[in-house]
Amino acid sequence: MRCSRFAFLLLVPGMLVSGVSYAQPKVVIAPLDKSIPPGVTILSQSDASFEPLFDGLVVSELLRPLFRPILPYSIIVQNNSTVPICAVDISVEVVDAQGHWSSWVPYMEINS
Amino acid sequence: MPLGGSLFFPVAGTYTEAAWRLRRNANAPMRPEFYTETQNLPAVYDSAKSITFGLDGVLFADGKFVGPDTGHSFEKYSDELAAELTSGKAVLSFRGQSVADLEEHLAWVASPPQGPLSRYDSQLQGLAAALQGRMKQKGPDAALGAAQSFQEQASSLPIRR
Repeated sequence: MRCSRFAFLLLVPGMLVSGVSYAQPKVVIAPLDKSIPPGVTILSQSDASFEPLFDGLVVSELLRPLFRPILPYSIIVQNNSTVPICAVDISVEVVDAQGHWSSWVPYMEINS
Repeated sequence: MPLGGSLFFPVAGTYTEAAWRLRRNANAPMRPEFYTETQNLPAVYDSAKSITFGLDGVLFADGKFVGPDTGHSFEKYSDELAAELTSGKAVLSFRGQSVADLEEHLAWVASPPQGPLSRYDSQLQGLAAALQGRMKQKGPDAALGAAQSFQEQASSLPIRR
């Protein structure tokens, strides 16, 4: 019993030093523009279907761990509309620990 | 992205690039730089206060473009498709003519003129350079085939809002 209490006391400072104490950033999905058909959706890691879809998109079990640390800060775009999609533009805005804003719009073209 | 399909967007470009390469080839090896480039990235995002994702634009296969488009992608896609159409048509007009004429045309379009280029002109130049390369590597028929693809792709995507 004493040992486990002692271990707990060690664990908390250890977490603080290792950076585990960071508050997780708030990940927000902005409301979709009204022009976007309802079949096009964005999923974040908090959605139940995110992980199975990720496993399907990164098929190699050897490579999946490389992406795991960044999964909380990733999204999956799903196309359940009636037309294939050729290109998607995602905007990302990050507020860092100092409160500075940075934003960019990655672009990828997709052959449907 | 086909119907029912999905697409993975990690927050950082290095990861995104890797994810796209895996989409094309599920077992593609990571670039050697991937490991060093991503070494500290998760910590950068761990320490952020907030991260907001938005769907800025979507181009559908029927040519319909939707979204708030803060990144002005509609213009970019329009220029790219227009350049593909122009380039394809111009090159295909050399079908049945001498190879030297086609070479001369591609060299003229691909050579950079003085002064800044519009995005459309840059696209034309890039396409001509790509066709030049294809012609050198695989011959005039391959270049004409690629030009045909440009034209067909652009014609099949009448982009509009």
